[in-house]
Amino acid sequence: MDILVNAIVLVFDAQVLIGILGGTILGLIMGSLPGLTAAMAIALLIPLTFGLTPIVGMGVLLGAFCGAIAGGAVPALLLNIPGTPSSVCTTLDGFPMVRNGRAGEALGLAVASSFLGGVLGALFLMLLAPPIASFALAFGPAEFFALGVFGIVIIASVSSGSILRGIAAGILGLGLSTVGSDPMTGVLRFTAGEAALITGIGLLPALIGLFAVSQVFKDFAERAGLPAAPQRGHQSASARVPWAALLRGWKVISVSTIIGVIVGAIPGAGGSISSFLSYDQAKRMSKTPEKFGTGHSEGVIASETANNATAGGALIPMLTLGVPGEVATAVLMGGLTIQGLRPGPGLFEQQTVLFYGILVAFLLANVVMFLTQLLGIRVFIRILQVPPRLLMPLILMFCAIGVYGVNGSIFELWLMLGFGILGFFLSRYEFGTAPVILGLILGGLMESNLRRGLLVFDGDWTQFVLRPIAAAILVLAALFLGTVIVQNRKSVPDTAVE
Amino acid sequence: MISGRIAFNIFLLAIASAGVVKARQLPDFGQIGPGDFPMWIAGLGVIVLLCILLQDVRQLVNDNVVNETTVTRFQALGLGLIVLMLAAYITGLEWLGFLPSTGIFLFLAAIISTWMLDPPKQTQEWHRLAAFSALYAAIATGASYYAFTKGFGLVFP
Repeated sequence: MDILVNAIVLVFDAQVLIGILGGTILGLIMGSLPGLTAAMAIALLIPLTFGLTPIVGMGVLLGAFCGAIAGGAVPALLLNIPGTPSSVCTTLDGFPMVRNGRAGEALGLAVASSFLGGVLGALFLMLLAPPIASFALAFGPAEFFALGVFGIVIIASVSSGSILRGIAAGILGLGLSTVGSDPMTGVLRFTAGEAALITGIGLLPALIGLFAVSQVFKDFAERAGLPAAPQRGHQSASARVPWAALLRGWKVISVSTIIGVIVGAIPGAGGSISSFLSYDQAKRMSKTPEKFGTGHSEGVIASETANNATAGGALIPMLTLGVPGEVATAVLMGGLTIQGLRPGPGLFEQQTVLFYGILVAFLLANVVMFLTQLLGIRVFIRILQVPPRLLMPLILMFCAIGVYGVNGSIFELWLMLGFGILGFFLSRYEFGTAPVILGLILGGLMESNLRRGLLVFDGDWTQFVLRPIAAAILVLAALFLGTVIVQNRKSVPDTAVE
Repeated sequence: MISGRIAFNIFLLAIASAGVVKARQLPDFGQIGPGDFPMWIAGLGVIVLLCILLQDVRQLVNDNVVNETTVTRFQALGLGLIVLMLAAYITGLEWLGFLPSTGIFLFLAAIISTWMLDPPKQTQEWHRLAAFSALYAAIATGASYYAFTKGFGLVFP
C-alpha cells in the first residue's frame, strides 16, 4: 500500500502531469492523421525525452501511446480511414454511423469506450500483471498458430453477407504476407527481383493504401459529375457521450476489455486482432447481429474498448518480462532503455515505486486522453464541414507523409498507390479490405509458428492439436465457424460486405 | 462487354494460379519448405475464387443482372486523373523534393477535385479558384513541412 501511495505522489508532480498532457495531445494528433501510427508517435517523441527524468519521460511516452491509439478512431469514424491499424475494425460500424448523420454519437461512443477500455485495462495491469504474464509465457508456436487459425475464422465472421468474398480477401492477405525473404531459410519469395521487397510488404503502406487512398478514389468515383450534395448537418450539440448506450452495452465493454487485455498480453498479437475478436464476440452476443456493419453502436464500443484495453495488456509483458506486446510497446521499450531503465523482472524488484508509478501514469494518461477528446469532439466534427475537394488532396498528402516518414522509402509510396487501386476494386466488387489487412497480419504469425513448431516438436503434427491451450483455441474456432455457416444459411444470401 | 465484376474475379484467379505455379518452383527444405505455405494458400485461393466466379457467372446468365453501379466516362476520367496525379506526386517527391512536388500536387489536385465535384459556372470563378488553390497549396505545404521537420524531426526528400 505504501508503495502505491509513493507511486501516486511520484506521478502527481507538475512536471509529470504536464508531460502526460503534452504527450497525450501530441499522440491524439498523430493518431488522428492517417498514416501516422502510435509507434511512429512514440518514436518521434523519444528524442524529446532525453533530458527528462524517467517518470516524466515515461509520462510523455505513455500519454502519446494512449492518445495515438484513441486518436486513430477519429479518421476511422469520420472518413473511413483508420488512423492506426487497431482502428480498422472501428470503420465497420463507425463510418456507417457517420454516414447516417450520427457523427456526434459515434465520436462520443468511441471516446468513452476508449476511456473505459484504457482505464479498465490499466486496472487489470495493476492487479493482474504477474498471472497474465505467466499465461502469456505459456504461448508457444502451437498456441500462436491456433490463434492465427482463430483469426481466419474471424475473417469469415466479420464478412457479414458474402463470406466467400471475405475469405477470398483474407486469402489474398495471407498470400501477400508470404512475399519477401522466407523467415526460416532466407529464400526470396515473389520479390520479382525488387530489393525493397526482401523485407516483405509493409503493413503501413497496405493499410493506408487499402483504406485511405482507396476511400478517396471511391469518393471521387461516387460523387464526380453529380450535383454537390448539401453537407449533412452533423449537429455539434449531438457531440457528447451517449451514456445510456454505454450502459446498455456494459456486457460488450466487459468482454471487450478482457479480450483486449489478454490478447494485448500475448507478444505479437496487437490491437488489430483484439478489436476484431471483440467485434466478433459482440456480434454473437447481440440480439440484433444483422445490424452490425450498418452503424450499430455496439460495433464501435467493442472495437474501441478492446484496442485501448490492449494498450494496457501490451504493457504487461513489456514491464514484467521485458518482452514487447506489440509494435508500439517495442518502441516504448526503447524509450525506457534510453531513460536507463531495464524492463523485466528486475524493474519490479529493484524499482518497485517507479514500476507502479509507470502504471499510475498510464492510468492518468487515459483520463487525460478522455478529457482532451471530450473537448475535441466538437472540433473533430468540423472536419466533416471541410469541402471534399479540399479535404481529399490533403488526405492523400498526409498518407504520403505517413508512409514515407516511417522508412523513407519511395517504393512504399508506390506500394501504397498499388494497394489504393486494389482496395478500390475490392470494395467495389464487395470483397472488402479489412480481411486483407487481417490476412496480412495473421499470415506471418501462422507460417512462422507452424514451421517453428514442427522444428520444436520434431515434426510431430499432433502437438498442434493436443496442447491444451492450442486445442481449446482450435475447438473455439471450429465452433465459431460452425455458427457462422449456420447463421449465413439462415440469412439472405449475397448482401454487400463493405 | 464483360462485366467488371467477372473481370476482377478472373484477375484474382490469375494471380492465385500464378502464385501456385511460382510457389511450386521454390526449393524444398525440411518438412515444410518456403514454397509450401504459399502454395497451400494460393491453392485455397484458386478454389474459393472459382466458386465466386461460378456464382457470379450463374447470376449473370440466369438473372441477367450485374450487381455493380456503373461508372460514367466522366467519373472514370476523373478517377484516372487522380491516380495519375498521385503517381506523378510520388515521382516528383523523388526527383524534385517534398516542397515543390507537394505544392504542385495540392494545387492541381484542388483544381481537378473542384472540376469533378463542384465545378464553377463562370470563367471568373475559375480564376478565383486558381488563386485560392495556389494559396491553399502554399499554406498546406508550408505548414506540413514545418510541423513535421521542425516539430518532429522528419527528413523529407
